[in-house]
Amino acid sequence: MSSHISPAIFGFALLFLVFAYTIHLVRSGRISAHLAVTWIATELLLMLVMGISSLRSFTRTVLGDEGAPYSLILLGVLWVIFLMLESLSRISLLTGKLKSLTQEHALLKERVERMERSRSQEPNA
Amino acid sequence: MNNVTTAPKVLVIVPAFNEEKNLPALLDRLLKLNRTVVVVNDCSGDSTVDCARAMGVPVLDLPANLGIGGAVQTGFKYAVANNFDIAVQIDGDGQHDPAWIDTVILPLIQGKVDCAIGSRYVPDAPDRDYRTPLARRIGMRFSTAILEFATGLRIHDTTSGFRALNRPAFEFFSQSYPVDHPEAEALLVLHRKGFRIQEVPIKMLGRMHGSSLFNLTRSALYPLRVIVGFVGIIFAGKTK
Repeated sequence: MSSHISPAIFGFALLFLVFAYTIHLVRSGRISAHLAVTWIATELLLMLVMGISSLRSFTRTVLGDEGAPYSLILLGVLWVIFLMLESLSRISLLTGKLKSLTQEHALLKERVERMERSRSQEPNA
Repeated sequence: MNNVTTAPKVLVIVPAFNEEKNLPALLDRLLKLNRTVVVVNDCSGDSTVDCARAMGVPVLDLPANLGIGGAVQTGFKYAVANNFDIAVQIDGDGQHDPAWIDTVILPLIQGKVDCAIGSRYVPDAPDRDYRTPLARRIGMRFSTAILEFATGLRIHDTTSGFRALNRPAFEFFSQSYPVDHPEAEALLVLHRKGFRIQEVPIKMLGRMHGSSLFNLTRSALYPLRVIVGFVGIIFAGKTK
């Protein structure tokens, strides 16, 4: 019995560490909560499956005894790919916005500098 | 496309990243030729901005590094906002001789093309004095071949940063420009949008200071980047 529980506890502990790190990144402002929410939900779901033996049994029943590990790995990988694609699409969108803002900043700065120069050249300035 | 007939307003866009040593000579030459110039400082760590300002040249000072594509696109936006007719892009490293600007913009003024590329490798008049590093030559041959495969258009100097565009072309690029690897991709985009492109033979100078961004690693990865960029443009074209 204990030989079956130990990997689950080990997995749960690892997931908890990842979860704690994700929360830390959100709290320190290095990841937006909106961006992290799907990752946090995934980590919580995995922790639930790891932590509750009936859920583990249910998963095994659904996937079948023999193919369960492979099916789980495949599903996990697919889900991670989906999450990464979602993150990449958000990053791409933000990169585009950041580029536009950077360019607009440079254009407006030049315009302000030009206006200041022309104002300083006016006779009554 | 609109033809520019009389006295076009020409803007020379100089994207610059850490070019404090090359920029003064280039700007001096441009100002002596009475060119209207704007320098786009791509978040340089040196005194590129001060060099340009000291010479009275307007500077678009990007607060974050956008790469050559983002810098050039900022110049196009400036050209649109200030009602220029032609935008000429030349590199800040001093390899492009401003004396060739009139030659490069001539087909645009005549209304023959929308984009003219200052080229070292036009078969009829190649620049035999310019020594292109082997890695770059291989990368360029590849992008020439893939551009021809994708469009039927044969451009011998796909990586040339000496380009002139008329207003419709740079107005289009001010909205949508392939900023990641703009050299060959920009030509593909222009061609797909129906703009006319032509190479104009010119001679280029050797770089005085610093080293080219097109190093061995970049050259090795260049073919892959061109393929990825082309596929991206072709797929994006269907959805936009």
